[in-house]
Amino acid sequence: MDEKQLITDLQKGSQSAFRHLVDSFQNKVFNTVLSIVQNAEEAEDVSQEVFIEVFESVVKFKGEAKLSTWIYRIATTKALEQHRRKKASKRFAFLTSLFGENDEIVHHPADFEHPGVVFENKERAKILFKHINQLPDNQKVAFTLCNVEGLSYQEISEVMQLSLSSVESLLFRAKTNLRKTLKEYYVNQII
Amino acid sequence: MKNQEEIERQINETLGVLEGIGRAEPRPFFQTRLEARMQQRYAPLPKFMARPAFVWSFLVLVVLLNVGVLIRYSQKTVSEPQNANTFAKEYGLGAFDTNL
Repeated sequence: MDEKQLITDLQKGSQSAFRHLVDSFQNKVFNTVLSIVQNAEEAEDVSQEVFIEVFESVVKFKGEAKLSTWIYRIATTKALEQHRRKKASKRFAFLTSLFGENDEIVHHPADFEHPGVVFENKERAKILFKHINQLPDNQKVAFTLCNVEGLSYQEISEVMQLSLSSVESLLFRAKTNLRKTLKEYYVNQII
Repeated sequence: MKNQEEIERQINETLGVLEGIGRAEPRPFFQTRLEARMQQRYAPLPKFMARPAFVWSFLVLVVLLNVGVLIRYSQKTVSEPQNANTFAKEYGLGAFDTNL
């Protein structure tokens, strides 16, 4: 289906157009959200919220950006919101654990395993995603869109509404930070 | 020196795991679950709740409850000496001065 036609049909409230949109974008949205929130159940929930948001605000979509760019933007924004909520609740959980009965930290999230990683790389991927999770939000989004979702620098700049040089700088800083934290990790492992 | 090389190798290998990563997919029937959630979200109110008689009765009930609570609590005094005496008796505070 032609994108313009699809947008027009969506704006008219066509259910079949919406089904077509979900069918075309569900994997892209889920993969992006999952890589940011790093939890399959939360990723499903957030992905659903993304499509509900698309359904509710498509009438306001004027076609200034590509449909995919707009959807990626909603997906990354919602995923980051969830990521921040989780970080805040973890902080709260730590505080409550200080006053808990057994002095134990209650929330122990398991290491995230991305289902798209080949079996022999699973352990390394767990380590990498743990370190990606520690990056500042905008670096995390840029790095994920580039390396997990495979978007070009140009596409990332459109999704994040930044200049191309800003995206390049974000990605450079993300890689530098990852190298730094991975180095600290491996120094402790090897020495 | 050897350790440094080993660390560099580990870092490069770890950063390389994302090359050729596959796209994660949601569980089957994502569309069905999404539609169910949307139906729930946009479900209209039960018909009887939309009737003016129900809406007005509900509003009157809320107002009456508020007035009731207001009347009940406006009659209560803040502190009574008897209450202080009872409290002192219960907790064995013989020399409790209620005028303090």
